[in-house]
Amino acid sequence: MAKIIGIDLGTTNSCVAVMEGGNPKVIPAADTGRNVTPSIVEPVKNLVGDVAKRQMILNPKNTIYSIKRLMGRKFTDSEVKRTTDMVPYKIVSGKDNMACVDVDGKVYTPQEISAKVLQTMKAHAEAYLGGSVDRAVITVPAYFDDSQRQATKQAGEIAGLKVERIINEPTAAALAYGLDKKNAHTVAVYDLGGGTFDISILELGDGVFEVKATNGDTHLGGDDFDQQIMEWIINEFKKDNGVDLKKDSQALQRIRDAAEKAKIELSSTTEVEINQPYITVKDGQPLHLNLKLTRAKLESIVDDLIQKTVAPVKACLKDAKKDVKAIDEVVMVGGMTRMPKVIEIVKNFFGRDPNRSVNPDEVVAVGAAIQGGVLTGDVKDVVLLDVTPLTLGLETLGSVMTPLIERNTTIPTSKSQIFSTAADTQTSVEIHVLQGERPMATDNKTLGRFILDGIPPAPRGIPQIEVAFDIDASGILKVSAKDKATNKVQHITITNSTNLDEKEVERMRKEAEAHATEDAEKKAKIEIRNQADSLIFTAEKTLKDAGDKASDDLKKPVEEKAKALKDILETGTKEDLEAKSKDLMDSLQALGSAMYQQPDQTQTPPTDQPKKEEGKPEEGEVVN
Amino acid sequence: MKVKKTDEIKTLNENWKRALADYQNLVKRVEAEKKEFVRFSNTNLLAKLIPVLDILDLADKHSSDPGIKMAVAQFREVLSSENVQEISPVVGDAFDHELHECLETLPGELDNTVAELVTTGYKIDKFVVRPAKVKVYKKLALDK
Repeated sequence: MAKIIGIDLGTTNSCVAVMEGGNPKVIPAADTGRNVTPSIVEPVKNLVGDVAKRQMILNPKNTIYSIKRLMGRKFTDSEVKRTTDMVPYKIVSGKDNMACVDVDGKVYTPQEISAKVLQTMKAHAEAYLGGSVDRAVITVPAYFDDSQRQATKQAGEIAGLKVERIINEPTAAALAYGLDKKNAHTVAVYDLGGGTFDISILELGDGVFEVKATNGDTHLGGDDFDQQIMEWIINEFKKDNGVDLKKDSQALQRIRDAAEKAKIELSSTTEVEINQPYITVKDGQPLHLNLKLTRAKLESIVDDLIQKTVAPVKACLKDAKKDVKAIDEVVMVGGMTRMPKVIEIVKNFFGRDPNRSVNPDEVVAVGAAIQGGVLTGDVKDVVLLDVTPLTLGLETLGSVMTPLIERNTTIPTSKSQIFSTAADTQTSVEIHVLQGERPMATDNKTLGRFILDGIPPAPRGIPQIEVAFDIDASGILKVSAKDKATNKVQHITITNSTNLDEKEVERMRKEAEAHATEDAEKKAKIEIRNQADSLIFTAEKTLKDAGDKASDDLKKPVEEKAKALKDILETGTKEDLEAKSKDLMDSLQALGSAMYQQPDQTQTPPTDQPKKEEGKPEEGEVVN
Repeated sequence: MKVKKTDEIKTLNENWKRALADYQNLVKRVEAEKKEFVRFSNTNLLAKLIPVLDILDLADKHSSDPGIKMAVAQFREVLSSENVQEISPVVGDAFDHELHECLETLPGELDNTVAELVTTGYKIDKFVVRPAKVKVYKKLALDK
């Protein structure tokens, strides 16, 4: 079935998203690669987005922005009057006294202008999806009345889109956060965008989203913040240099960019340097703009703007007849909600951390796409592929947990690895299936164990036992072990490999983090011990092979040192084991090279114990 | 019962093929996206470096030190070796919204032509990293 795209048709910027493989994906603009497109239109030359923005100053009367403010409103509407005073293009009264724009003598309805933006979003989606798109879900502010919603729907139709649904922006945001899947909820959506501020209280229950109340300020947003920062910069410069940069359009442009950049940077750092060399010339001498702006200073510059959001929030709660305590969740929308001070104000007001894990510029489009997915059945019927919440593995020599399937692997999946025996003539191996993040087997959860026997006696490290883990889509883990020599197989099926409850998973993960260092040390010690054990084994084997071909002078130190190492194998510290292993290794090498220098001595190392693998083979290591 | 099973097999088969196809398509897209990604990451880096070149250009304009000229020249060499082209319209060129951004209009007879290049723009192939910032002539009579 054809996809339904979700479009956030914004006052300043628009954004489009689509469901893909069960997940929402924001579609970047084909020309700029950015995820948002300015809602700016030049209808005569049919320019939309960044290209329209570039020629805005050249053609101020032909370039339409903030058209959303006129959508479905009468010419006499107070909001239309306010917009008329603000924009350079001409707003006229059209059919039925509706507000329209006049460009070069031709009258365009807000629907037609918005349609051009929607068309562009549609084109971006088509370029991305590689096919035609003709259905969409479009979002509108919660306060839009029927006529404004109708106008938005018409805009979609003009753009060649069947508008499957018009949904409220705060509802889309709640959808994007998956709040519908949780229990009945009262949610506050705080949306501070480029040009407008909206606050809505939603009631969620049984898949129904009800907007209890909405409030806001249609002329408050990021642009106002930039403007105040610019003014501060200009004043500071004037104080220092006696030059008013307001009169210099070139300088103004650079300051505007610098102000926005500083604002964005101060969301992640506490101090920025605004550096614009050669900003202007005074008496033939170049002047440089060099200012420090701290986060605290920025907050004081824009404090009045942030405080302006508080009154609408209070009013909204009052309208919704809700107490602050009744709000279960606060969701942040709009780029300005990245500002730490905004987050702080919201947090202090509601007494809880606002939810802001979804990109605030994209959250509304994402919600619209999810709604689109619900309508196509994509979301309902989609096979939700689960992931393994914890690592699955098995115990190997020295109680080490060897992972086979790492946590967060999407299932169904399978993985196999070859292991070997730990002792000579070992005829059975125990497969101990584990789940968890800790390096030591005992610290993890045992899912099951079984024994594979009937392995033909052979020196350690020689048998090849293939262990395979296979988890199907419902999380059922099947572990099998096969001896490659005899093809003998044993297996076990574990049904509850993924259904740990959330708390259990969280606890195990936390434990793993808390014990990381101590575990690593423990594991390192065991590795050293395993190596030492292997070394002793090799030494004994070499001594046996050497027989009387090597002198006692050489054999004796090996014997002694091997014994010394063996004595401390279980009890020695990591350092002792390392030191004694090195001692033994040195003597062993001396013995080894002496043996090779013997005339008439066959050079073939013992076939079952290749020399290069000295100290290597052990259970738990991949043999091939 | 049997009919039901056959139907089920048919649906499953279809779904399976669909999943395979989806995967194939994903592989293709990942390839394409990898190329895009390189371009975008280059562009992002360039977009951050270019303002520094602007300042060097300004410094060169205000100073008689030939060292700065050399530094600017080297900077540009690096850019051109990475296939970055300058967008530097001259006075009289027609304003092109694809490549230029208008900062200001000046009264002039030659309507919609570039009056002054304020900052040079840059592009990689057809992709505009930053449009050239220009002042544009505008006939006053038309404005009213």
